[in-house]
Amino acid sequence: MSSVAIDNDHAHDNHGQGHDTHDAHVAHATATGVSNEKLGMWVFLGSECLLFGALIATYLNYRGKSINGPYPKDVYNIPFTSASSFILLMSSLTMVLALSAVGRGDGRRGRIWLISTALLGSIFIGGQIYEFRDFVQVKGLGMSTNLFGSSFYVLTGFHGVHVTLGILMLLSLAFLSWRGKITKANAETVEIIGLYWHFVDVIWIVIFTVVYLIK
Amino acid sequence: MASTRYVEPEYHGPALDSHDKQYIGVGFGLAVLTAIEVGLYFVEKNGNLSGGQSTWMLLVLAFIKFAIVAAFFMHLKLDNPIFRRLFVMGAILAGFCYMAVLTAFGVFHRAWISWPAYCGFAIVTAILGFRASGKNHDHDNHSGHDHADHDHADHSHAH
Repeated sequence: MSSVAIDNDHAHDNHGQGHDTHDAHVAHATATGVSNEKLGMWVFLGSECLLFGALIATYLNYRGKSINGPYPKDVYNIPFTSASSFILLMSSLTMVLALSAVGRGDGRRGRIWLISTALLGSIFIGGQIYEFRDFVQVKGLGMSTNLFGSSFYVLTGFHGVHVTLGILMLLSLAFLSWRGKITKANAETVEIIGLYWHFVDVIWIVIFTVVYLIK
Repeated sequence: MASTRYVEPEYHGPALDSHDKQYIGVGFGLAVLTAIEVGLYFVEKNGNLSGGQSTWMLLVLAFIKFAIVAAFFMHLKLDNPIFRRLFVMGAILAGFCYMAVLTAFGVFHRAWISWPAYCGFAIVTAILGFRASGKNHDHDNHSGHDHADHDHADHSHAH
């Protein structure tokens, strides 16, 4: 939100400045009273709810309907996936700490937290690649092996793509911050990317429970 | 006559300065809930819990984790109510939509399971939606008063 505000202490010194303050506030207000960029991100996340809802519903629909194996109980490594889930969950914490630091004007600490978040996300993606490789090469579960394989890879693969895009956005933010283009004034950019990151985290909370833990 | 001094616009998101400790506490809570989830999985695997019981417990825990991340990390608790309204109503709509799809495909094939589940889901979502809209309305009213008072104070200073 680029806007120019007038210092209120000075504005109160005379009549003219008081009106300027009021006019400046009105001129930069949006029709909804909230930031259009943030509202746009929330609407996008709403549409993402429907996308992932469809993929989860498809997985549930095909659950237990595979004629031949391997079946979920044959392939899942719950301790490994639990560790991956924990790492992604903690990346949400580092993301919110990054926003907090940028909001305070502490760019250096903000960059550290942003890079930490990207690193944790990369570890999660590394774990997912390892898991997929293990399923395909060792356990024989390919994309077209059975209904379970198709629905599982589409659902978790889509999530993995979202996490990867999030990592790229986080690294871009860290680079922009290093160039001095992310400051306290435009911390909302970090908040919007953060909303996306937290969303992929909450979707994984649902996927981890529904796909991996519930038998 | 005082000179006009332009300053950098402030960040108008939720207040963040004093929340770092709270965020760390929330992160710790989420880690504990995840550990409980994984523990439940192994308790069920060892036969100490029925499949139905563990399923409901896991779903409740997932819902709590989802709500905590949305409320604290996504700032729905602190931010403008319009975002909460969008997200809660969208989630309710998506929930009903996909429950209907799964019922149509016969996933909830036993009526004695599906109808109580539907009714329970409808009651819970209606209560949550009603509470959210009530809080939003109160918040809007309070915000309106605050803005009115603030504007009044500004004008009294200016004049």
